[in-house]
Amino acid sequence: MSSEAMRDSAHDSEENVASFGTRAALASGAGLAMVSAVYIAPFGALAGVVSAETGLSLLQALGLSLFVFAGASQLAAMELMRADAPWLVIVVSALAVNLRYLLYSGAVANVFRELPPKQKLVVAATTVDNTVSGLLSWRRFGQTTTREKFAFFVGCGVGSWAIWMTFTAVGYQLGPLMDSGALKMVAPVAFMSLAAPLLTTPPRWIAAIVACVVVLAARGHVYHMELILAALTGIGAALLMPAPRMAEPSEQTAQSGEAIGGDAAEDVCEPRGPNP
Amino acid sequence: MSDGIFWLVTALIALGTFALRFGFHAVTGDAEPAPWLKRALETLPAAILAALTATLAFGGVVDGAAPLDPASTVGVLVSLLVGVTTRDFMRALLAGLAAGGATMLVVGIL
Repeated sequence: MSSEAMRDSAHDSEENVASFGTRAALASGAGLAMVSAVYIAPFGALAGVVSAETGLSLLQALGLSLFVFAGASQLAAMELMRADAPWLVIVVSALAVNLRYLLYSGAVANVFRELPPKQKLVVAATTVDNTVSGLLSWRRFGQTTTREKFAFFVGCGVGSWAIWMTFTAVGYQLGPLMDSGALKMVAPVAFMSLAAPLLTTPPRWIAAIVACVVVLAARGHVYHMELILAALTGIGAALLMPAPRMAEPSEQTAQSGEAIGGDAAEDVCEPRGPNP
Repeated sequence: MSDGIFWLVTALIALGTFALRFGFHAVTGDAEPAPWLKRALETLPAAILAALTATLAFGGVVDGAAPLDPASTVGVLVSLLVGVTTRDFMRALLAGLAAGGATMLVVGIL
């Protein structure tokens, strides 16, 4: 074969492997975001309602949802604002709530290793429960290129962000008019749904139970730091348990991100629900 | 809280959260964390998410500010049961929301 023909046929086989397409991947991601609206919308509305109750302006409410894009920490921060906690406690508590995103980054950093740095920033900006679990359980994961996975991730992320912002505004405006009782149930159920699939080993059960007890018992007594205290005591209790038999060094993966984040974050993100 | 302090807090939370989200993208090389640190990081989401659930569902009760909410309680218990047995986030969520919603209807009727 001439060298041109060889190049062309090599190019063709690349095309066949990458046949799903970035546009289709983007649409799949956006579709997943739509499906996830079942919890993003009420949760966003709750954030909006609570923003109004906390006395924030609409601009401030939208600012939190836009720049933080993390419901649990937004709710925690606003509760602390209502309690007139010092600003540093608010910041540290919110970041404690968001520590799980560090594990999420471990799960996706390996997937997106080849991306240029600017695109990694975009991945980071759209790293939420939804996008990470969606990507890791995507049925086309094995057949798509990194670029297509990036398109899926960003499609899901931007779609989720849009829903989040929209319903923050909706909740803010309509909040005073409606009984937020139904919404109040959504947040604890959503977080229990994230937590329960993780409870797979005794240390995790211990950590969860101790953390629950501490966060409620210490409430009101530790200058609003009960969440941080609960996390530390929960982890401490789990570490006090006898260590599992250590795996052979060769069994441990080399990449630190995959080692820390891969296993743990995959557990966090492992829903086997339907995906487009 | 003044406007200035609010935006300071928001900016700090946003930047810190972004740093966490970017976290492992910045790591290169094969440095492996200590085994105890690995185990700590692996139990961290379970501990934080459980504590958040407890705070959201029962924090008001502990403060004495609100009565126990039957919808949240039932929803959380159902979600726990379904989540542990199926290990499926969506199923746990939908089951919990359905159970909580049903509880609200029942309590509303009684």
